[in-house]
Amino acid sequence: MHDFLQDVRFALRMLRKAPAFTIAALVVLALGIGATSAIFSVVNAVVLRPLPYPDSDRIVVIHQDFRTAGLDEMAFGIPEYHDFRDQNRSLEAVAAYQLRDKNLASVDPPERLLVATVSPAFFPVLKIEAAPGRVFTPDEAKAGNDRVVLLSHALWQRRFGGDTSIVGRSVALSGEPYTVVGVLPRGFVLPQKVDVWVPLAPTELESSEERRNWRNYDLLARLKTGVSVEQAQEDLTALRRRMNEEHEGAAPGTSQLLVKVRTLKDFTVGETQTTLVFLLGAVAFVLLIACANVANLLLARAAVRQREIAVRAALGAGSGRIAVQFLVESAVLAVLGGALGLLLALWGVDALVAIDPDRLPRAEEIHLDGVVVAFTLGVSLVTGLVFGVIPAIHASRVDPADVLKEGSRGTAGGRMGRFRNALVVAQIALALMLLAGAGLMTRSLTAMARMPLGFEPEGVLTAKLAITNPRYKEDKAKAAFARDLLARVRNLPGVAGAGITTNLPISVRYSQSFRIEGKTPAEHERWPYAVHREITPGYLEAMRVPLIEGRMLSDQDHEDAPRAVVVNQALVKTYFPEGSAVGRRIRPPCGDDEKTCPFRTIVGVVGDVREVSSEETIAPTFYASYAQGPWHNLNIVIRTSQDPLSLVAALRSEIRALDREQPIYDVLPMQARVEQRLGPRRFALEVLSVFAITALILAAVGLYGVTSYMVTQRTREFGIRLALGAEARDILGMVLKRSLVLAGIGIGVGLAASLALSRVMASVIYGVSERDPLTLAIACPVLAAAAMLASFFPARRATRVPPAIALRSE
Amino acid sequence: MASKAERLIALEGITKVFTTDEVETHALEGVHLTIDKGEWISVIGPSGSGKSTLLAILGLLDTPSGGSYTLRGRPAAGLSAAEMSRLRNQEIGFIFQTFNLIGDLSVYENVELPLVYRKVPPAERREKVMKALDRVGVAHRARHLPGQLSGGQQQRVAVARAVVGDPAILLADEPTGNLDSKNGQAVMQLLHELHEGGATIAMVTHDVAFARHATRTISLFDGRIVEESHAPGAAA
Repeated sequence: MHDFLQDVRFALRMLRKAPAFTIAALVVLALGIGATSAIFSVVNAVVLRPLPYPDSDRIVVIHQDFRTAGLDEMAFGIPEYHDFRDQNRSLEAVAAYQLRDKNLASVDPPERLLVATVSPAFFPVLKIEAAPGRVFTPDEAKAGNDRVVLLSHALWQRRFGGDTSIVGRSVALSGEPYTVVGVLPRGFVLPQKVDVWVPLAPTELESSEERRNWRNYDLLARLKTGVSVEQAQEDLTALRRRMNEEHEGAAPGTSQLLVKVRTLKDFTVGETQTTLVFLLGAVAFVLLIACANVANLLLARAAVRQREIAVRAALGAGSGRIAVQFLVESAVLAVLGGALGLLLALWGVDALVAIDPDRLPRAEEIHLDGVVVAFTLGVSLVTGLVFGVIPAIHASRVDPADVLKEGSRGTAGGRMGRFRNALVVAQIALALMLLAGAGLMTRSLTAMARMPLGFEPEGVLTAKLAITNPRYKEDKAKAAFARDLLARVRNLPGVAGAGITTNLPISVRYSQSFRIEGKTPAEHERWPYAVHREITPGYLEAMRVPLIEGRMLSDQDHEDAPRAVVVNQALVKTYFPEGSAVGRRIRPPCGDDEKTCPFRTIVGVVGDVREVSSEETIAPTFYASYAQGPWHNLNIVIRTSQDPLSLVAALRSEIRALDREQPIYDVLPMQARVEQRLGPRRFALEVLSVFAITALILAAVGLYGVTSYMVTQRTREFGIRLALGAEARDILGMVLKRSLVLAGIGIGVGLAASLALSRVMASVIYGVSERDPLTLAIACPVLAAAAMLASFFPARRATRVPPAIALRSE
Repeated sequence: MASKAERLIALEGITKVFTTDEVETHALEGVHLTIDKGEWISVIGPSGSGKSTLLAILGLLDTPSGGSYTLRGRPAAGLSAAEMSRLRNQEIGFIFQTFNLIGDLSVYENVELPLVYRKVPPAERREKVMKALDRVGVAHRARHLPGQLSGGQQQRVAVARAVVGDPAILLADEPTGNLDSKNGQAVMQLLHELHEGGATIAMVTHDVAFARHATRTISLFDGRIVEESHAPGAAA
């Protein structure tokens, strides 16, 4: 122990004695360890840490999988929910939920709220209690008893000042009174940034077999103790198959339904897990480069300290003792670097979350905690071992007789020189891989950004409204509101056109099966499925979706007129390959009664528009007349020749004039929504770019260090060469050539490794080959140029030493 | 009447001042020296007398602080670094006390180096290198690395490297300083043979016995020439 403390004290003294070396090594280590800890903080919070609910690994999300219709996350109808709840053998409790919008108008200004309608089992499944107050009772899931509400902690604080007497008081949601029964814990927002929860009290009609296929509810469940996700999947799949047989022919495609069971954590984290694991791999490269860099610095330093080592050996220190001393020095350096890295990670975590806080799941849970600190300490010690072991071995092998005889000359060449070169090669190879990765991500994002959307997002303002007040209960009232709002908006100065849609492109989409008049596919065949939207006249024109054939929807397609739809080219290509679709009729699966479920006539064909994300193939889509099937969710779309955001105040004013209790929310230019869709990839790109630049700098610093060391070691040789007639440019060329050879080998190795690991990249890029030659063709010279720049300054220094001085150099 | 010898080097009033930490050290003060073609001069003096500085200035490895240096009638002052490199390569051959062979290059490659910098074609290089190695008797070690040779052999290689480019003058800085007496004698014999063959030599040495090989001996003390003597039979 005493020896260890003495070694630590000596190590600290040595670090103080060589401030340039110490600062360089600590900066490199802090960068490597800090970046690793920052990414690990995110991975830990998002992927590794259990959700903040008791036995959270037993909480699962259940969806229906209707792959034959291209839908893998389909919801459940109430009868289906009841079947799964009552007949399963693997679940302790099952809850259904649905997200809706409501307006909180009893306080000024009115605010749109995201409401989760949940069955009473929802909170027991999560084992969440309210405080103050209580969660819903089973009794409150009955029609008539369901006017009760639970508030989120954030809403309670924001709109009610955290007043505990709120429990028992009444609040108006979309004009209807609800009694507050409780407030949920801070941070609880499930299923998705929810403001209030109301009980699900299905009507008789909703619970009837007639509504079996009206699938509006997702399921959340708790596994029985000892039951795995796979066993639940098996149980529920068997149940679904039985249900398919029982209800065969009840609705199109029913017999093809399957079930998908995932843990709530997997559902919450989703694809982000792939991105984060990818980034964790990438940051490991940065850490390795940092290790190689510091190992090189330590090797150079060990060479300088040969005399000291030789004296120690001459005084009786064994090779093991000398190696331990060097390892302790490395560990001290690593722990100090780790401490600095932790400070860097504090800032880095905030920076990472700030890139895209809305799309990063569990962002509010990301922070440095004991696990991250322990991880950082572990990484620091392992790092110290990795970069310290070779210099320690090298130091332990110094021959004291040889060194003391020759004086304090360092050893320039030999095995250590080759090892230092190998470290530089490794750094360059790793940096190339990161550069190539960032390049591929950039190319992928560019490809995605350039992909035609089928509409023109520039110059378009969008805003959302939820007309949930009882005064809009009737379809005619909804249609009238939309009509009046559009009339007002179109009269605003600078507005070139306006329309309303129930869903914007590049957001959520709703699909529906339909029948084509004159075509009845057999049960085993795939039923026609299409994305559907209700739109007002002017919507497609405002979005500049081109008309291909027929006509657009117009005021003539009012609520009393024959049902009309416009379809996209993909729908025509898929379901009417024989020719024109205009004049053909389709019908949703609502029955065969023309009065209650009339056919809709296709009056026009418009261009294809990309949905959800630009990576997906274009789905068949039909646009129905909003007046003929209005929803409470509205998205107003306004085309203007001026800055779209300049219209926001006027839009709010017109809505207030129409209904002072009606809030609007999520007001954004359409272009911003288009850019948001690149979010997860942009996050990965931005982080990877930082890594790549760091790697490039570290690799260049590594090469600089090795070249500098080489120049110092070979000063005498350069003097000899100059004495023999070499010119400065010969020396410059010689040093640069050597660096170029190292860089070339590193680039070659990196290139081969990049190609070998290209499959990993394939999971995070789109629209560009993971072996894209252009990316590699750019990354290689960038790295070569950085290598040349890093070598140039020490090389120039080599030419500036007067030959007479160089010849005297030891 | 003896024919007038060709003037190779002329130093007039050469001074060299080193400044470190605001301390000025006068290494050379007002040195006047001429060297004619075919001469062999020895420079002797105690440590710190300025011998090596003088040799560095003669070899264009260092520039004087004052005075003028003319090589073959061409003033050295104002020469660019590249021009000095070229002159060193073509006119001057160096032999150092510590041999100064490049450890990573073979004997052959070490000797070849001045010709490489002179851009002599490979075939011609080979012929000249082998001739030079033959002349000093180490041709059979051409493929060896310097570290595999004895000190005497290494100095022979250094001599071969110095003469391979057929320079106007050989500058030898304590050429026997790192050798035992037997090898030292052998190297002196080699220089003697070269001088007999027409080479001009300027040699710095501590050893008065070796200095006697020269046709003229210059004694330096505190940066000044304090004595100049001619060998018996040598032209004054």
